[in-house]
Amino acid sequence: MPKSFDKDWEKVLWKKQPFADNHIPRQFLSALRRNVNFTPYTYWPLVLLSCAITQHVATIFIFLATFVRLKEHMVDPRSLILISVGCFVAGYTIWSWGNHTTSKEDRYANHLKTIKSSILIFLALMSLSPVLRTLTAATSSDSIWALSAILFVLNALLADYGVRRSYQKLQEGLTSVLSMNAAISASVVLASRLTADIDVFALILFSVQAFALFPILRHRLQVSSTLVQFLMTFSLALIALALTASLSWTVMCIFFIAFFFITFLAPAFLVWAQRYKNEIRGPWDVATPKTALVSS
Amino acid sequence: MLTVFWPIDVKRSGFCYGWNAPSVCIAGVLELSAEQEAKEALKKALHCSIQWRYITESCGSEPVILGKCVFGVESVRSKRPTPFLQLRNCGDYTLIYYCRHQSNTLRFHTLDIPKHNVPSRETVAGSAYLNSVLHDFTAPKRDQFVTSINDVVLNQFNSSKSLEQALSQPLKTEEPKLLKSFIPVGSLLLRIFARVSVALSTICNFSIVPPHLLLKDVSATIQQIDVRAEQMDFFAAEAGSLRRRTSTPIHVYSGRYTNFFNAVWLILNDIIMGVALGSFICENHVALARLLVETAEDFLVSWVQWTLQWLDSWPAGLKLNTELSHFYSHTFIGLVTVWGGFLQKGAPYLPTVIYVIGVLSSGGMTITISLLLDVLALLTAHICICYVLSRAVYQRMLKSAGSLWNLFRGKRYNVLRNRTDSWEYDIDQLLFGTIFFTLLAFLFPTVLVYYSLFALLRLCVLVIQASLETLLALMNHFPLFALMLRVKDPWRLPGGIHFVLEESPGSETPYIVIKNQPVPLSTIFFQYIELLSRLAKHYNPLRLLWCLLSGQHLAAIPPYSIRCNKIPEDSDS
Repeated sequence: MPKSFDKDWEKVLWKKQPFADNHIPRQFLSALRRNVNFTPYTYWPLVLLSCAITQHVATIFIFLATFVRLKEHMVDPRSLILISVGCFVAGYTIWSWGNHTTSKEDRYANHLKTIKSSILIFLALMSLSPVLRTLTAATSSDSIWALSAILFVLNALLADYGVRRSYQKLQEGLTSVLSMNAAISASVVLASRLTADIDVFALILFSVQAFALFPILRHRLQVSSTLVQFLMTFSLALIALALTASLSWTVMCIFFIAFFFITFLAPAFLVWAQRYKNEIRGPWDVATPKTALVSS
Repeated sequence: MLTVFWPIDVKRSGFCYGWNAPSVCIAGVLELSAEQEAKEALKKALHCSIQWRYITESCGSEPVILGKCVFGVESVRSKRPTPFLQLRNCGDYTLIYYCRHQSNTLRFHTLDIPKHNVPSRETVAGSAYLNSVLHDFTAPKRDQFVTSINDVVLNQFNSSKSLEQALSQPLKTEEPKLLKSFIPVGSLLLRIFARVSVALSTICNFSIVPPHLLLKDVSATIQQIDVRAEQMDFFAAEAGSLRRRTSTPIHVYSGRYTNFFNAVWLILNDIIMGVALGSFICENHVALARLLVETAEDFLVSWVQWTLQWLDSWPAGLKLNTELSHFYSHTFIGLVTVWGGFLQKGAPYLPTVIYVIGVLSSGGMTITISLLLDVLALLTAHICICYVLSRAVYQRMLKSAGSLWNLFRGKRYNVLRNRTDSWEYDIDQLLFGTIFFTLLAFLFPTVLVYYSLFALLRLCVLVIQASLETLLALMNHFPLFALMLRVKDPWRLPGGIHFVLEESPGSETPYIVIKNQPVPLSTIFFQYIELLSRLAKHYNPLRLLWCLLSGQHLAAIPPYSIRCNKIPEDSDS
């Protein structure tokens, strides 16, 4: 709105002006701009973006359900191993379909490298599982539940939910590595409650699968179409709920509420909180150069 | 106004003789009637006396007859002499008095603290700077002080009494009385000493694992024997030079004399205390042996085993990893039991060993202390081995944790450039790192607990060793003789001169006497202070704490750094 202004007042102190030195002109703060680059969030894109979080949380819940089943001997460890291997093969195929950047020879070399490292990890885990079983065997169960809860929360907080384009490298930041560490530690801690070595091996293999390899696939799938994203989220949540339903009704309800909250309620809250956004800009700010390459 | 230096004890009239340059210094008075007679007597004495040929050089020039002096009647009674001088080429003069000392009392003046037992700073600083020092025009030149008191004048003071004695009794050589009694026995002993010391030094420097590990690094007793051999060598070298009283300048001679007799006194003290202690040990050797065996059994074997068992079973409610804890405690208990077996086997021989130690300690208390050090090292050898083992594991864990931290940050240590660079790791490397990290993180408390037990034990042993080594260094190098001289006769340890304004009763003007300043205590103890600072630096508690935490080896101070070289730097014998 047009403001009245003092015509003769200049923003200098080295001239003698008819005004006092601490005179506040009427055009004070007229250069203030509020929320200049403000594009308000809209609801449905936010929901789509929060699907990443839902997928991650669903993975954690699936893992917890698997653990309980293993502990109660409701599932055979060997079948779990087969499922893990099958998931790995499927996931790798999907991932390499989306990999358009490398040439044919490189792709072949990459396949071989992946096979070699997966065999290595498989064998290493198999040999280390007796050690891993007894790492925290002496600790009482209550501390184990508390410790694993804290570690999973840490994992969820520090995980990398961003979108990674296919031309960007596979480099992980420190926080995402730390979150992976927290998840693996949590699974090792939980594995000490199991009795047989092969149970431990199955659980650790599954956790490596779910917390280290699955996020890579998730990043790759995030750039694909909305439908794929939505289907993925829905299926993961459904699997989590189904696995939990046969164990405990209460926990399933809790999980359902958690999913609902993360996917639908939290974006709504964020959109509602936009009204309090108050970003102040003015000529006193540090200038930001506009470069040609602007990431949208 | 000419300054004339007059000896305070001369009250005779006659012809005074002395030096003209750099300032008028009167050495004494000849009571003769004619000047020509005085000149002849002076010349005859100068040519006949052997001693003079060496001192003339340091006094700058030959003494000459300076003039006549007359004493008034009243000045015979007063405390200070007030002569009336008739010197050539001068009218008015002021008198400054100085004291003359006999050369066999070994008293003398110097301008500054004698530096013959301190490594000279100029040579130490590196000859690269010597050339530029020559061109330093800001440093005051010695020539500026040509008419004031300088070294030459003090040399003249020091030699004035000898000049008088040369004039009255020519052809008399002087030696300190003490040394006369040593001479007959000396030369044979010296030859024996020299041979024996060479033999001992070769044995002590025999290297077990060439080129670094010498025999004297392993055992404290051999180190002490090496010190003794060095002292014997020192005697053999020094005693010869002490006979040459007349040809060495007095400050060098006095320093050598002090050093020599300091060593003699220290060793005699040592031997006396050693004989006393040795007789005590020999009398009670059975009781001592029993006490030693019981203490060793209790503390070193049973208690360690009990602590290891306690650590294995949830110490203070702390739950360590069961398998690893079992492994550790079984291994260490086994080691300690083996050691206990050795101790039991050796227990019957222990009284004999202690008796032998008592007999050997008549070589000196230092030998006893070093034998004690060796016995301590032998008795706690099992703790040392356990410490080395647990420290190796702990340090390896810390290093792996460090490199895993680099892995998680996406950095890698570049050995070629000796720095950390960023590096892309594959996903399987990250996975392996993660699994390894969980292993490390969960096994770390167990390793830490066992390491800290043995590190603390090793620290206690080290503290005992350190105190015994300090005592040894004290006994080997205490400057007893210099301290006694400082108390009894400060003139023999001069550290500069100062002027004292004295009043004589019933006289008009006060007069100035030159007196010397004894050497400050810090110079007497300078070797000591350096030794103690080295010990403090090595056993600094913060440094020990850092070594403990980072898993570096807690070692005793290397024995060379707490030994001082006894042979003085400037040997011109």
